[in-house]
Amino acid sequence: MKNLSSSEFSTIREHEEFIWLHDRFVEFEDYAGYIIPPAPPRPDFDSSREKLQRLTEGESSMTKEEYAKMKQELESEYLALFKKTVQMHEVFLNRLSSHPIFKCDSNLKVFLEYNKNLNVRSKNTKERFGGFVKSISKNADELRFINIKETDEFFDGQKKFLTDYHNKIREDCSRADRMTYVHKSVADCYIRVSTGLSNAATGELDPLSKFLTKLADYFETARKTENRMSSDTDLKLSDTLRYYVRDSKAALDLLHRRTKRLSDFETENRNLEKARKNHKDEKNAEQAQQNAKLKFEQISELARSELSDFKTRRISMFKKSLCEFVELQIKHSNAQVQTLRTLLQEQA
Amino acid sequence: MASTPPPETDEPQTTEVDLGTNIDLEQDLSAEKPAPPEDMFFSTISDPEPKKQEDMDELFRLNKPMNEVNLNEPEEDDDPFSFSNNNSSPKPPNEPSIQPVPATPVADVKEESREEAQNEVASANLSESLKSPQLYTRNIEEDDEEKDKYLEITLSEPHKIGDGMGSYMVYKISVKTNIAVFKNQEFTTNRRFSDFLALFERLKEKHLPAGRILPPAPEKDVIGTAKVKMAKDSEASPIDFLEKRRSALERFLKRLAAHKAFRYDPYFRDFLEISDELPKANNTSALSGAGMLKMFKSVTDSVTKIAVKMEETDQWFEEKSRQIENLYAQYKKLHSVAEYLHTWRKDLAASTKEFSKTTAILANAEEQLNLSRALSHLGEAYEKIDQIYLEQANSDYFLFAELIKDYVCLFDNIKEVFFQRIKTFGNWQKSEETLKAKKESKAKFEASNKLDKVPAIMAEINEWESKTAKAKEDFEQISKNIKEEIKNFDLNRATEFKTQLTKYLETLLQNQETIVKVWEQYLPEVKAI
Repeated sequence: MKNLSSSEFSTIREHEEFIWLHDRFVEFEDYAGYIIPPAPPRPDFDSSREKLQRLTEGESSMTKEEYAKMKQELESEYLALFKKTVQMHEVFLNRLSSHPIFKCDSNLKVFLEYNKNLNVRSKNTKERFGGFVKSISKNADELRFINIKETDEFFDGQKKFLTDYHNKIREDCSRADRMTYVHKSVADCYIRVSTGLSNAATGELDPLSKFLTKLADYFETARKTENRMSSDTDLKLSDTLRYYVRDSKAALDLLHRRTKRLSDFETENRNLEKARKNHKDEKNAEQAQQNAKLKFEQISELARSELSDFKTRRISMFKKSLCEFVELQIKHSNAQVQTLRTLLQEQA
Repeated sequence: MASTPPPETDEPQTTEVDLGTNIDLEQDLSAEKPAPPEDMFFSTISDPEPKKQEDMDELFRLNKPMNEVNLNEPEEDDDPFSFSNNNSSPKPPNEPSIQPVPATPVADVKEESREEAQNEVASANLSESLKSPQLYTRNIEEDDEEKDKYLEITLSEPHKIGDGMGSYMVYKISVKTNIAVFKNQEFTTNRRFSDFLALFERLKEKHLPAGRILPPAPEKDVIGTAKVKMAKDSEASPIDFLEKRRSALERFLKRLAAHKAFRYDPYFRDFLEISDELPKANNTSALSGAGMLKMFKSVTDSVTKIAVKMEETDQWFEEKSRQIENLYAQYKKLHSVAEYLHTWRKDLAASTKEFSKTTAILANAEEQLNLSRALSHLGEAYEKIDQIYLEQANSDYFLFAELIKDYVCLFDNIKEVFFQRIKTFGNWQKSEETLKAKKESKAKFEASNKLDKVPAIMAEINEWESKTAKAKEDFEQISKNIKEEIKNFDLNRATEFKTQLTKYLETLLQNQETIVKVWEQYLPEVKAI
């Protein structure tokens, strides 16, 4: 459950309530032309909990120090995860409140100001099922929409690009996650190497004993750096990727909504033609057709600007994150180099 | 490269006496016949010991007399594993106390030193106390010469002989030496894995009773071998496995070459020199007769280990034994952790590679040109990094994990040596008891006036007296040898660890520096988005 407090006035909100807010935005037709900022992901502490469990099970097999170190490691991991989740929720709200249109939304106001519990219950089975059905119908729509000719080159290209991009970035993100996970495991190995070396050192005499102890110390320091490298990769690189997985999905949703309106427009066109032929209900049909056309044009216009915004946003965010990421990697690697250099100099 | 003339030839024979003595120790116990000193040398070679394979004996019978063992070759020494180029600041032979050679002067030596590196130093101190000349004492006096000798061994990539199930890998052994005993200065030969094992077994039988610590034997690996056999010519054989094995075999030979007792051993020499294929040593396979015998013997040994409790009179052995046990346990744990690290690092290399690929794909999908370029270069940067991780994983294995593993094996071998000593002690005690029993019998005969039996029992008593004396001597000898070996081993361990692990740290440093470069090169790309 996520809590957040904003600057001027504070309210406590749970994660579910964020989702509720997001859904309100998605459903509101007027916002159909906008890319709705993606909802923050559900906080997942399960993997941490699992790790802790495994650690306590394996407690007997390691020394006290080792156990303490690994526990500490896990705790800091948990903390980092916590911080990240908070940040995600913050980003979501910030985007809403900085958007010229969204920030005036009444739901957002309620969300931020209403001091009591919003009484948002998480989707019960019926609603979840409803959501499920909706996504199926959406897919069915997609199939239908294939037949609709996209006359606008821009949108056509955008659709292709976004679908492709979304898939690829998702793939990249999962690989990045695997990589950072393994990197972290290597860092954890260092802990055990360090303890192994100190234990061996106790059985040896000087100067070998001193040497081994120094080596153990190195591994202890190194693992902290390696950990930081892996977590920075996660924060700066993977998270950016992750965010854009969701954002590109949101953009695709926008395109989907537009296509829906286009299909509606076409349907109305056909209806109008039919009505004109049959000389029946012409006025209504005309009205309907005009509405549909208007809607479609509105959304197209908005969508255009939204999509170019999306592009700019994406570029700047990547640039910023990548810059920070690379700088941090350099910093950490240099730190490693320093430690190693001093250690080797001492030995020489 | 002056070789000293034959006057030396008499003495060298005495060096072999020692070997003979050691072998006789075994024979004594089993056959109960003392071997005449003069023939000792030849008897070791020509009499097949009860458990040995006849065919290998045939082969290892020397073609030329051992008299040519010449220990006086002044030579340069650049064998990386030679013990002599290290702190053999030759100690005067009469120094009673062993000077601990500190690790620092050795650190100057870039080569790794093996067990016997401090050999001359330690053995110098035993010279005066030794009555029967030994290989070591011999070398004390020739301290200076020994350090100039080198025996360089390198093992090259194996190649496959045959096909399918009957195939096997041969390794080319290249030797460079200036030791006169060898026929040539440079020569090569091919050997297969079972040959190495056979060599190990022979050396073990011969030298273990003398209390020598053997280098770790190369490991059998059924799965790896099967994979190699089944790999077709066109496919690449499992490279990792072969490289690991090649490296292990090379270390094995290098360690032998660095140890005084082994480098002059005729079995070892034959192994290196004989250019023909050695007959397949079937005894090394687990299912052979000899294999069965070995298993049986090890079972009896284990029982003995539990059953026999020696009253330790020498405190040194008590403490040392404890220390060895402790270190063995610690290093075993460390080794498994080191392997763990190696595996994870390999995984990291693989996952980094995957990531670099998907990043490149993403870069292609990215429409904005600068960002696309930046992403594709990110993919390239990660590709370089994955290579670095792979290299690091290799040094994790070869410089760290394998080093620890070798020492775990060595500690195990030391434990065997200690056990050997206990067995020797047991033998001595048994001899003493038999002698006592005979003496009692004699007294009984004399008391009951069965004087006709007395001469017979007197003869037996004499026999057992000399046997007991010999057994005692053997025990004292093995104890001395062990002390010497262990002292060298300890010093060597310190230096080898230091050099290897420092090398390992250096690889870590180099790799980190490369990583820094990769990122520094990449940074401007990002800024250009």
